[in-house]
Amino acid sequence: MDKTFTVALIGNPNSGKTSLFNILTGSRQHVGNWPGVTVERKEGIARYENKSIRIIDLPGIYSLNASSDDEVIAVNYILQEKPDIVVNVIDSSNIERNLYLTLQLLEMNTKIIIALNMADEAEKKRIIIDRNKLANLLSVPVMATVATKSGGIKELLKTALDMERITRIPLRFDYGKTANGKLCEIADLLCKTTSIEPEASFLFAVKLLEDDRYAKDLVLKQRADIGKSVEAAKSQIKEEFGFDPEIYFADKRYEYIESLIRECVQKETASTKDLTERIDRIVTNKWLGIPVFFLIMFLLYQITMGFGNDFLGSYVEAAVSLLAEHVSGLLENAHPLLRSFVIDAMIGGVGSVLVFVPLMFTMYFLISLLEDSGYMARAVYVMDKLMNAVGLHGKTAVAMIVGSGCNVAGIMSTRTLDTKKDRMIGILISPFISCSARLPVYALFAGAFFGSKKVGIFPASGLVVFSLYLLGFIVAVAVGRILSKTVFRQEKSYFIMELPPYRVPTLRSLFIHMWEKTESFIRKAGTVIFGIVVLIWALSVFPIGVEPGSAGSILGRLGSLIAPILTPAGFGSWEATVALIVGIGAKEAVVATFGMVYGTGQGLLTNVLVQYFTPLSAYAFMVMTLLYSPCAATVGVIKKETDSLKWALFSIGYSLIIGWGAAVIVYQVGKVLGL
Amino acid sequence: MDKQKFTLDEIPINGSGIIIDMQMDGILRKKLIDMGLVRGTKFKVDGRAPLGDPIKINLRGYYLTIRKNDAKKIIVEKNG
Ligand SMILES: Nc1nc2c(ncn2[C@@H]2O[C@H](COP(=O)(O)OP(=O)(O)OP(=O)(O)O)[C@@H](O)[C@H]2O)c(=O)[nH]1
Ligand SMILES: [Mg+2]
Repeated sequence: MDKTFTVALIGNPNSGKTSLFNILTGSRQHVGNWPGVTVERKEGIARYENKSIRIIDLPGIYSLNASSDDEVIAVNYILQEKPDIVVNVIDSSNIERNLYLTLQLLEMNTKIIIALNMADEAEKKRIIIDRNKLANLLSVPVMATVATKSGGIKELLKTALDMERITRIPLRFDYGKTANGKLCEIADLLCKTTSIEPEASFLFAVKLLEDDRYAKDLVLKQRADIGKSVEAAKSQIKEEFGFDPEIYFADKRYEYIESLIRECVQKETASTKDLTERIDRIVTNKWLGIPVFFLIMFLLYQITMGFGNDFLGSYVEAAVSLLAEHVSGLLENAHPLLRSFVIDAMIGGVGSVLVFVPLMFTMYFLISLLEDSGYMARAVYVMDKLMNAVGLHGKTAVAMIVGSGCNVAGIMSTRTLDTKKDRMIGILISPFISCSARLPVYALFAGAFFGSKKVGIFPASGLVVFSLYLLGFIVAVAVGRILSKTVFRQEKSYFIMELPPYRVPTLRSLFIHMWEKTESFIRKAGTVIFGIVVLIWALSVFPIGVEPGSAGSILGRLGSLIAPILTPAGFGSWEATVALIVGIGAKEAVVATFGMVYGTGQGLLTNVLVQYFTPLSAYAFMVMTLLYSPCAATVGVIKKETDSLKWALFSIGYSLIIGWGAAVIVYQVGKVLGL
Repeated sequence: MDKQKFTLDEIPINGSGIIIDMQMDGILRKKLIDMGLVRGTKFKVDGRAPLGDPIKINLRGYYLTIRKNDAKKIIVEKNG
């Protein structure tokens, strides 16, 4: 083997490719029970009997015609990169539709193994598939796998390695005499006059007649005259059968698939209503559907704040204060600069961020539950009409749920949107969704100002936080509406989505999600946040001689310069100003900055805040934190996904204006109302 | 059995039928074909989202959701 033997996982969305990838390579990539979880190509290494195999995980596709950006990644990969083997991952309980892609893959010049995944579910549904027969009919190996329980993995790897030396002839699917004749003619032409390999020429002929963008781009660029032969063949087929080749070929393929199903699949028709139908009757109910969506989001925040932060968080908080006390005792006689660095920067700054670890993992645990159960696709289905009424696509709901964990992930999820318009709007409004990095700011302020109060059984702080989520949601929707009426006016959109069955989330994947995100939060606190804190600390103790963290320090002077702009919003102190500026780097740093400049460590920080803010200005500050400028990572991903610096800068600019405006309105209106 | 032509959005919940024709082209048609909607495909209308749109249909053993506006362009034959 010269280059590493490469196996690519290809299949319909939600067929279990990433689950399989994780088992094969020992990775921990994101899995979820909704179509469109994976939007990037991922690589890993599998080992079998001391051989290394490179495994590629890709976004799901329904066919080789790509329209959305995630699909383009998968289709381009198989058409251009030529993996040694394609493992076609099929959801066995949904084999009929899955086989459509299989037929197209078989027409390609690649070695293929079919993995009938979710064999356990098929069994439960009493779908019996005759694997040997299917393998014989399609002339490729057919394996059964259960990706969630590592079933059939060894056999799959062994089969892949065994196929290393064999060759496979692409399937010459029988489209009927007339069509086959035309296809051969064009294939011949392609062989003789273009760079397309003979083995791929038939497939390319099919693709050209189907009006496939990719094939047309490739071929017509080389030989525009082939276009004429293609058009002639198309109209001849249309004349004879009354349909475009696109429809006619699809008919033929499904006809064949139906015959395969008749021969290889036995299905006992179950008459009892299954779990999925019963849950959907409530969750997508005419009257309950939308309230259920908002109830779920409400509970997400209540549980995160009530259980994650107030309950679990209090233990960590106690531990950090204890540490602060202890360390400050130890450092009593140390140099004041060292003392300030350890107590203010390390414990006050980084420590005040770490206090929110329990909040993070509670939140991510709950989001994983939504993703893994299958509710995500329902949220999209239920919200589409409402969203569409304001010019948004239903799938933006995914960005709004995933984005409440992290805006970067929310923006990535918009790759599944088919039209440019929906995609751009989804990207540009995502930063207004309240992400988990803003939660520490809310938790701190809501705890300080609305802390001990309760409304019914709900902690007031949870309600304040939920009100901010709603505000973010409303601003996102409003901005989306404006964008769809102005910048992206002309473009049309449509909506087609599969609803997967509900599945019981596996503990493994819940904990993987939770741990991955919590770990990255801690890592960020130890790196980015720590770096920012050190920088800020340095600025706060110089020039030498000033009292550390006072208005006379460089930091204080910088803050005071800009603070007047924020005075109408009620928080024109240099400390708040600095915290907001730093927050553009990473929102967690807002809390770290307060922890440091108020020089106290978490325990007392709430007490100090009360001296500088009123409940009203605290709320205005939270509104500002929610809406003003996306964090640096989000700006970066906006630039990457829109492929335009202009849009990235635009997103900073307009959100700064919106954030400042909203905070000023909250504060001024509140003052008039006498709050 | 009496069979009549309708558009997909006119089929009531729990009604079923067969796809006859798709009066659209471009990406949408390609997408629908890829998801298993071709002439002769049997389907059942399973439900509607709370605001009456999108429509949820069952075909080839799975659930597909599609907006009313797009369903209007799909001609079907109704069973029973
Ligand atoms: N019962 C059962 N569930 C499975 C199996 N394989 C995957 N799943 C579940 O199916 C869902 C989808 O799995 P993923 O691995 O994310 O699917 P995918 O093909 O990567 O999906 P996309 O990235 O959206 O294309 C998850 O809820 C998995 O837990 C299996 O063999 N049996
Ligand atoms: Mg995946």
